[in-house]
Amino acid sequence: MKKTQKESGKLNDHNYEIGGGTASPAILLYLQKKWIGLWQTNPPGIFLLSFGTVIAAIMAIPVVYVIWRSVFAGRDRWLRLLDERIPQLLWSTLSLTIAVTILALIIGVSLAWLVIRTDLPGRKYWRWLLAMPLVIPPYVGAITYINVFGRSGVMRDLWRDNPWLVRVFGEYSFDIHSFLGVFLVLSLFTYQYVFLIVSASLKKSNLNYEEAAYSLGMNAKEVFWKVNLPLLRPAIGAGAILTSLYVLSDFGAVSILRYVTFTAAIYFQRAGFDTASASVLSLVLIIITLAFLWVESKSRKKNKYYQSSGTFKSAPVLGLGKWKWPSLIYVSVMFFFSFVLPMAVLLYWSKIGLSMGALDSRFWGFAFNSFKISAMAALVCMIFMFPIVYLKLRFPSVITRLIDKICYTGYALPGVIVALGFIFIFNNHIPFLYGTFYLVALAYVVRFLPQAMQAGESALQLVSPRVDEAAKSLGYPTWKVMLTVVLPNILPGVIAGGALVFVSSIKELPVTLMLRPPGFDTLAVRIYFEAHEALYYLAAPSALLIIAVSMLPLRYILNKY
Amino acid sequence: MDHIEITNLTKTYPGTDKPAVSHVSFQIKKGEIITLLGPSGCGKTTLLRLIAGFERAEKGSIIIGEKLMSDDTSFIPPEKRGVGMVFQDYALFPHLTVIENVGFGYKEEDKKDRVNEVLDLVNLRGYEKRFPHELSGGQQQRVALARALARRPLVVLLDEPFSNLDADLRDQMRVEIRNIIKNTNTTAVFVSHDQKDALAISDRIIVINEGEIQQIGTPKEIYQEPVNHFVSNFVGRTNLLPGTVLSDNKSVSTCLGMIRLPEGHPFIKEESIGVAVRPESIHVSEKDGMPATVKSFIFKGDSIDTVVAAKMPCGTEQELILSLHPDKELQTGQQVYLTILPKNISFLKMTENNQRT
Repeated sequence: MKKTQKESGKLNDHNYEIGGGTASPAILLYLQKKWIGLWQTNPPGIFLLSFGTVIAAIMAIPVVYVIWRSVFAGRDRWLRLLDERIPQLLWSTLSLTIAVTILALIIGVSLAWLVIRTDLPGRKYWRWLLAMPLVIPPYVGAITYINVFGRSGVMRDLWRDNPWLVRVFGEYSFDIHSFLGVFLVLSLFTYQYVFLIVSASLKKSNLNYEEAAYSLGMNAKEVFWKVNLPLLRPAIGAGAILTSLYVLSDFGAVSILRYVTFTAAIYFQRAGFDTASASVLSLVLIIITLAFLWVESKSRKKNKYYQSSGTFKSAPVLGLGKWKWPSLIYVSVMFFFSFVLPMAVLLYWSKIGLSMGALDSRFWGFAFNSFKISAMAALVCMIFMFPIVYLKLRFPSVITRLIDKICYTGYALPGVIVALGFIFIFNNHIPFLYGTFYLVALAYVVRFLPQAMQAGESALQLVSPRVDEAAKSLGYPTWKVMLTVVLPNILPGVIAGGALVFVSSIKELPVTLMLRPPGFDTLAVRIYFEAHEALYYLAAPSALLIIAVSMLPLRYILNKY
Repeated sequence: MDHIEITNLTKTYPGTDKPAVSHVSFQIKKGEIITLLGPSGCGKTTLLRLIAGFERAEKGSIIIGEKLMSDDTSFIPPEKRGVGMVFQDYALFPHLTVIENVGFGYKEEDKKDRVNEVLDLVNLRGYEKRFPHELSGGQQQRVALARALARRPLVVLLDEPFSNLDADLRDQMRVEIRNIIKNTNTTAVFVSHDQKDALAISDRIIVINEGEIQQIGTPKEIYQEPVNHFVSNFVGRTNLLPGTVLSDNKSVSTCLGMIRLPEGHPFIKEESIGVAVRPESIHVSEKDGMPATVKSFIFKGDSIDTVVAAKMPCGTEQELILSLHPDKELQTGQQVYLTILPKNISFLKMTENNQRT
């Protein structure tokens, strides 16, 4: 026994936890016990944990800084904004968000139901086709709609050249730069979220429940209201929250359609160098976003449904009968307006652009800039994602869950707020990086890291924690286990996550606009400015290139649902 | 000197009040095969993970091969313990071949020779270039064992290694794995909830329930002389009859009559104890003995599990379980006669634990 005592003294050198050593005072021993008590397994090494904490801090600091600045914006400014500006913006933002969400729900659920549960002709293809608009950034969609329905658009010309249209329908009165215009355009380019989630849920829904309901004497209508709809509620809720968070954060489409919501107001305040007011408006927008997230988490807690997987019987296909043709027309019309029409406009202008030499060295320069910063962001996200996800799944505790949650800050909140935070921090504290493209890439990381995390997480979930433990018992420390055993097994997920970040970064508009160094233009930025100057033949090729790149991970996104 | 020494080990998971492992102490000798046996959730896997170092106990110490691995102030992480581990799902590295898996942790210069040696040992030569998904369950298990043995670990820990195998393969692998471990003179700790596994492979069995050790003993001792109701019921099935130790302290009075206690029994005068009778030590005949009525029976193939209501000599009626020969024709309500064979009767302390289980 004496010998082991001696050994133990020596072995204390290996300890990696706080305290250690037989001579450590009682208080340290107590803290050490508390620390160990926090973790389900052994605590992670101090290096891994610090790495994760630093990443989480990077993700949260910009937004925290904005909140802090808004608190010190001054009483007068707060009162002035609360008096007029904020009520206006609240009305314009919330009415748009709710209206778009409702219309997207109606379109998304009806399309999903038609495609999955009825004998709609070509339903297999429609499932893919109706998700296609996902590749068109809403601001590009908005530009094409201005092109067709705007003040000097195709429709206006049609009315001018065909007097009989005026006789039948009256003067051309549709104004795309109105609530109605923004509402319709945003709905067309956001219903896909609802459509994808609800159709996935419909596909998975088990016929057993419906049969049980029929056997209890319910008729088809009752079954729909009492069985189908409640089972779909989680999916509908998830689609609604995604849509409304998107509308709250959208800057490109609303500003191109000259409709002012919080995001656009923040952008223009900052452009006018009134950053204090911008931070006040940001705080309000943060609160609205958090309120939406809170409502969503509440409703999710109440609606925990488990689809039993034991005996799975997929539901039968409903015959549409006389509704076949109206349904087909409805689906085709939705597809036409959300995909065919915008693509046709882009192709038309691209053709003109090509003949006018739009693909010059400037164009390729913008493309190179876009690719450079997006690739940088994707690479950093792939690296940052790993420790966060590994900590969360392999060292479950309140601490690692918190780290994981914090990393969603920049993702859940609108890009303009993240950009504003970056401006504050780098302008005041790290000026040598301010006005470099590294800043833009880092902001992309803050915005899109969770996309890489989700992909990495679902890949890591497929690797048994026992595999890691096997490697550890064979003498490999954690970092080596991560690199030699875990990484090779999750590589496809890591790459998929990187691709998602890359595509999101290529499309990104507000952060790029606010943070790019002078003269550093990307494809998205050029589209924004050229559309403002109605140089559609220049904007269209850039938009097509972005859409082509977006198609790359589409398969992965669609398979996920 | 004991090879492994566990003293007063206690582990409570965060968010729970009841310890998963509570004040557990035992010793293991070099080369011994031990099985931690108990129902699921009894803490046996936690105990194994504490020995491996994947978790840390809040109290108690673990000494392996004269090295202190864990106590209140010090802790050696799993990668520095030199403990081999075989997991329930084998946890082979899916991206590596058999030979890469087996050689994964081996860092000496004779790596190639050692890997071949271990592959010979588990009889897997010729499979070197295969990936885990190209192997059968039994082969995967042998790779897992080879991988754990390659580094000549101080002890190899096996977590429910047979639970993923079907019945035939299971019988065969029990023998094979016991032989491999014995041939290498490795100390081994198995975890199992299956009494058949435990009885077949172990030198000694440690029965655990609700985080506490119930009994430590050889398979024979555990089966024939269970110390309490839990052990007698978990390892095989048993009929428990109440009894009282007589004032001469030499025999116990039960409903069946007086039964002699063995020499050196731990009971005191007038103590209420339990008398455990194994189903196979009740003999059934057509006429002689204690009358009983068949209440239900289940045909098991190699035997018939039968429940009877017996009229005890003291006048009360008691349900007993029996194990009958499969050829026996039975009907519910049928009258049978029972004789209790004196072998395989054990005497149990009636602790609070007995009332609970």
